[in-house]
Amino acid sequence: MNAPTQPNWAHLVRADHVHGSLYTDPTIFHAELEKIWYRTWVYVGHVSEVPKANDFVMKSIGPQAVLMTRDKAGAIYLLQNRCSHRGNQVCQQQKGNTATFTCPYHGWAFANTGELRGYPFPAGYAGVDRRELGLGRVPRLSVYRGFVFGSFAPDGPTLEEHLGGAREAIDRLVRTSPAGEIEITAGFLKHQTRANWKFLVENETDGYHPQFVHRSIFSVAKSGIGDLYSDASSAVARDLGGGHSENDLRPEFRRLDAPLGWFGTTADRLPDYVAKMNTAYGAEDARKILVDGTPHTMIFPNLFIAEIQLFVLQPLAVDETVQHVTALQFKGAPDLNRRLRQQTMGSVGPAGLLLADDAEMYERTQRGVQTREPPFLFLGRGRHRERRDPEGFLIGDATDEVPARGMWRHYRALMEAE
Amino acid sequence: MASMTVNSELLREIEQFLYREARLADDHDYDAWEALWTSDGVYWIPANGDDGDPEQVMSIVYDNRSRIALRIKQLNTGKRHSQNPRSRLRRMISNVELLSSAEDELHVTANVCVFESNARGDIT
Repeated sequence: MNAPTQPNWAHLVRADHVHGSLYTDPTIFHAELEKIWYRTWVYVGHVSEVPKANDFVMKSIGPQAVLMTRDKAGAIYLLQNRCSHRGNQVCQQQKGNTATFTCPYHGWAFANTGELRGYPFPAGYAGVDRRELGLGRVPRLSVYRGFVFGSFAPDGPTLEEHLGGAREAIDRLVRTSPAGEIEITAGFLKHQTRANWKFLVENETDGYHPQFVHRSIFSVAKSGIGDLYSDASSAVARDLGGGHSENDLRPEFRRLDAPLGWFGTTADRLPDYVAKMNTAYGAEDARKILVDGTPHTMIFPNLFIAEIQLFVLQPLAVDETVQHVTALQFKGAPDLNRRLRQQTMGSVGPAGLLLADDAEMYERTQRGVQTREPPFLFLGRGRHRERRDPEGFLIGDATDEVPARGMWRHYRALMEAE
Repeated sequence: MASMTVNSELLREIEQFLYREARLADDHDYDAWEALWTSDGVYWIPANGDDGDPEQVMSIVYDNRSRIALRIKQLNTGKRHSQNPRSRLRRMISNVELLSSAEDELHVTANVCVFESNARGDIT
């Protein structure tokens, strides 16, 4: 018998080197689907995308389509788009409102909770238990502050345990709203790149690249972002554990001490928003929130909170990934939200002033690692100056590769697990 | 068949304008291309196959005049990696139709097919 041999993960993933085949080998990609995408908690969507009873929206976990529904009582469900009869897709719409999904093939009707409501000519199914013929469900669903996650593993760590050190990023994000909630209402751009998903994860909290990849826009827009990721920056790269990581820009924003400076504007340009924040949190705390800005945090494996945007990474193949991108919207802040949409539209997507160049790097890197030599990529930047912050997280300087090393440590643990 | 008088001279002028715009973009002559824009021009490429309100939902491009200028300035730095080396481009324009005209405003539709060749491959 030829048992399929497991890749030697310890050989491929080292302390500061990773093997190029991790980005190019289809068998590794299939192993990742089983051990990461169909096992750990994966971000699916936000409750504000299905605000009303019987709303639904088409989402995904890895390459699989997942229907996120809200039933008439208000509960959220994650269903698979597959008729239990012949496997036909029961829903073709990206979003909408319905209590029932009726399969167009033979007319089987499913409630938006997944239960089979009925089928035509039922006399042909004498003795069949309808309760066993519902739509497939993602076995576990958990919601944290409106963020809906799903896991295909029936058992495992809770969502709170999975989020660990990254929970605070979501807490911090929602406090930027005077109502304490974000909303995902601006629709998504789907930006397809011919690159492995891990190149995207690594890039999201890579503080080394902005000055080089984004020099063209920083120079003409007179943006201060490049300085946040310089050798002289007091910003911190942090491994939050669990594969999560962040570029913590707060040290720089606190040094500059300018409310809304992180957003490239000033308090007097958004007076309604600032007034509501003062009312909600008190002037002192509101000012702190507005100085600190929103997180720049990658929640493994697929949710990137990118200060003013939200990215959802979806791997389709070993060399194909879709970034679903939208502007973050903060409940109760229409003047801020309008600006967020405008800035997001300028920055992201295939024509984005920023993301078009990131995507170019992903794809060139993907083509680069197809070559044989050298076989490993080097992730050693700042390893000699890694240190623990007061909370015990591993941190490094703004441009250090602490986040990538943390991601790979977690990756190896997941892939080595039974 | 409902008859509609087409001002063929005007239509010809419109077509020539669209061809010129396409040629300047194809040839990366962005200074001349940018000069075609009025100060209230908006360059809009909707996303997701439907014309959602660009003030409310994401578009691929929704540039006012100053963002059009910023885009060109970014290209002109020579450090816009996604266009370095630049794409080879050809735009085909067809189905030019004048839907309505009033005073100094024309409502024109046309179909366009863009052929792009670069390091990623050929894209139509």
